Amino acid sequence: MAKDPAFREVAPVGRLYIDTAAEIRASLLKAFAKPGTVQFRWDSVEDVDLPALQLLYAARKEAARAGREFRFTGIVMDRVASRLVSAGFVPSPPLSGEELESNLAEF
Amino acid sequence: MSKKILIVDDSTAIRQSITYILNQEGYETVEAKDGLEAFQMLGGVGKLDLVITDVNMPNMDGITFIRKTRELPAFKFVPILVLTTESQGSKMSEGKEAGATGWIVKPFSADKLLGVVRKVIE
Amino acid sequence: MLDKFKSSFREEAEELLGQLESTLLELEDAPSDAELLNAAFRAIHTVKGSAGMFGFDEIARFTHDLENVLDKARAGKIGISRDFIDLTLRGRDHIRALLSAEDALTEELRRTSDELAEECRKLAAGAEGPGPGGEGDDAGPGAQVPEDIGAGGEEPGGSPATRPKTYFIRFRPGPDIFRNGTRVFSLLSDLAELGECTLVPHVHEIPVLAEIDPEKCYTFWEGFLTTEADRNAIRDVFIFVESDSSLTIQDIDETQINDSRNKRLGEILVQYQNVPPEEISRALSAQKRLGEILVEKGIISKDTLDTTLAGQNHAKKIQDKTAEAAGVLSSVRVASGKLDQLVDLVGELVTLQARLSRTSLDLKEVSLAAISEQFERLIAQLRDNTMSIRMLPIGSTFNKFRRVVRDLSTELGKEADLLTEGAETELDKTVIERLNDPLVHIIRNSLDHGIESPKDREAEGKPRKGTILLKAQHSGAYVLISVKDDGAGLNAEAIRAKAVERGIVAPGQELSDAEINQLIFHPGFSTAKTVTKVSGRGVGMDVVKREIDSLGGSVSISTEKGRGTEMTLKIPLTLAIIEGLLVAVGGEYYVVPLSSVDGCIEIPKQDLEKVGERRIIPYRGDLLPFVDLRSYFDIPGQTPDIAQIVIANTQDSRIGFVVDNVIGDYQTVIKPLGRMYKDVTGVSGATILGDGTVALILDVNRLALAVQTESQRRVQAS
Repeated sequence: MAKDPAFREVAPVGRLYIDTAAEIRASLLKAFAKPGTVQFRWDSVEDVDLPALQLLYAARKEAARAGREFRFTGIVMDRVASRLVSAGFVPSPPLSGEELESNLAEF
Repeated sequence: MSKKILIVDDSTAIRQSITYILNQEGYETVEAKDGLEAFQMLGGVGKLDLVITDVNMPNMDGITFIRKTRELPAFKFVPILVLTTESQGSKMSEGKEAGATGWIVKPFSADKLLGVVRKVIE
Repeated sequence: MLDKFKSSFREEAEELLGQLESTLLELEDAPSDAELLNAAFRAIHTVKGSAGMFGFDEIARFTHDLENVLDKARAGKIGISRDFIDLTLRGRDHIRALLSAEDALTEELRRTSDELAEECRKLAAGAEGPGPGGEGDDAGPGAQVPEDIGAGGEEPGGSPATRPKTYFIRFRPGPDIFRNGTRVFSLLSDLAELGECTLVPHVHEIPVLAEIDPEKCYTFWEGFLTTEADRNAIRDVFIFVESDSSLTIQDIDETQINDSRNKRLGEILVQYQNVPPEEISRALSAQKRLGEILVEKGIISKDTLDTTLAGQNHAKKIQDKTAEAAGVLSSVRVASGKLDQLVDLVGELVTLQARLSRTSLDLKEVSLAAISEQFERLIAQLRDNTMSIRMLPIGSTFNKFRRVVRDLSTELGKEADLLTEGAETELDKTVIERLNDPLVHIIRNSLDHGIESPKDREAEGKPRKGTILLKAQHSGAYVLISVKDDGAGLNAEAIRAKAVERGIVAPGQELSDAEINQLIFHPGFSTAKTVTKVSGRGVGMDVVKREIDSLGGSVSISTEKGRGTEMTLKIPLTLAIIEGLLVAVGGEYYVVPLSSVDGCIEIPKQDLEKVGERRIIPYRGDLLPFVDLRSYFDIPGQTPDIAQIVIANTQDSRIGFVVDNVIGDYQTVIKPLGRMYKDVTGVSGATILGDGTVALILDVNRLALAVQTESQRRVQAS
């Protein structure tokens, strides 16, 4: 658990396809239910599809509306990075969550 | 981790062929000889990455099988490919209606099969 | 490939036709039994569907019409009459005849097919009333070869050298596209594979988290694709989703896209997005970026701007690509000796550079340090370039192996195919050459021990002909080469028995499957009952392993009884230069290959002495064996009060090396050791350091093995 009590982390594991979408939304909502920075960790994400990415945009919008901070962190796996490149979300494969966050289109 | 594919067809020869082609490519496979057997298998089969099913089968046909499968929360989104012959244009749309992801037209070559499988799950 | 299942299909078809006969006869007595009619239809349908797959094209062709008749009967359009039963029975008999004739089709059989098909068509047409062939799918599908049928369309590049074209693409997935398991990103990856692709995702319709339906799609794309594939190939990417998505594919004039690189945004907007020119000039008068102003004023949408900008970008990419491709076309052949020389020289430069940077550090001269740093960057580039010249596709050796399999299977009275994959994988020329013998040996072993005789295979229900798959693929700084057979798999009991007999393991010693498999790499191990000409002479896998070890690689096995064995070689991309961790013991230097370093820990000297004979240290929750390099290499001097331990990964475990000092990351050129040192265990080569001293490169795997044997000996002695 994070030491900072005002620090919420969502760190999904595996392939984030449609079957995990409802679950991810629920954990993001839970993280936003308490005050503080919300962080999404990419380390264990093996693959990603549009539903999960849409949720991250939705979370960013949620954060903006509530004046909260929403950040990415962790290492982005090659497969995930190349998916995002071919779908046009980033110009080149990001290595870290931080890099992804600053390059993600319209984010 | 290798991906697991369920193959449903009443023809043993077709099932064996598909199994062979997929195993060659490192996919794990499970087989069922009709929709009913496949459906009963779903409880204990664990996570599936793909289902390939024939349409015309005894006991339970492919379309019913897909419809029933989509009703199960665990398999609500599993990719499903329908095996069809081109004389059954209507079956493609019927399959899609029921919730299939795509189709493979019989007869098909190994490359064709793998092409469609990769398209859907790789 | 599917020929293997031909006999299986034939049996099945025979059985189905047997059932069909009795079904039809029962149907004659109970013409209103829908279940019987369904069963008859299914039987014919299954035969038809399978026949085409296994090369029985004539059956597929003929059965099509028969199936049609049954289908019409199911729909109630044809009554079950004596004639109907008679025709379907004759059809059924004819399929049987075709089945046993297989490839030896006689004119007479063909004629019968045509006649029966004609009768079927007449019957079906009669049911439709006037205007036969209402379904329009009477083309006789089975007559075509399988590859030509279906959704695949034309392969990209299948047509002769088409010039690439640029398309504008808009893809708006339906809101429910995820519901049937479609993965949108896979589609887009497929699209990107067709050529040079620039896509812009439009995401502004995505609601906030509290309101979003996680299972609905809110995103759409616009973008550009430059490809040699035709429009159908692009459509095919979306074939499964076309009905519930909207898709636009628009040809773009090539000059347009090429132009837009050089054009200003304003001009493009006027030309393609129908923005009035006066709006542009008005906007331009403000001191802001044109695009932003137009969006602000609501003259164009943000989406339009993004897509237009992407178009500019895309044009730039294409032009760069074209220039690049033109460069690739010209090539020069050089003698490989010259290349080797070049690599040697680069190696010397790398060494010299290390000295330079060290000297500049010692001198603390700022201007020298700056030059040294720049020099280092240039040399790194030179090194990478030189190494890439030495890379060759491994496929050039694959053909040789095909011949080995062919000749050897004849000699052994076995049948096997060699399939290859990843022939285009590139590897250092020297490495490819040195891989030849080990691979020949492994393939021979697969054939000799793995693949069973055709008779045994048939008894096991396997196809007569075995398959050996030779596959190469990149994996980081390594290439994985695997040889996989569908033979009997390793026989664990036989291996264990042999190992006991040879005294390699103690009787009753507990071994995991992985450990048993590793035994075949033990020197002098062979399980063949008789000494065949091919293998089983005891100079087996241990030689392979030694050679792979010396390449800095590793071998692993996976096997499944009755299903086959797979040997995987993990080989570093290049041999000449490695990244290493430089360590010191007394006045001596050693290099541990960085690829095998797991971590470094410090440990007080007295703790080391305490563990004494057990020679085990705790590391991340594990207990690891260690080697004190000082005593192993007989180096004079005392271990410092705080010893350093480098933890390295070996083939199957980890091991620690006690050293005085860890100096740091070090890039190094490997020099082979002379003949004199060939029996020194634990050292795989040497390198010259910046100051001219020699450092030895540790052979981690062999050191680990030596320690293991040593400790086993001690255990047995006590």
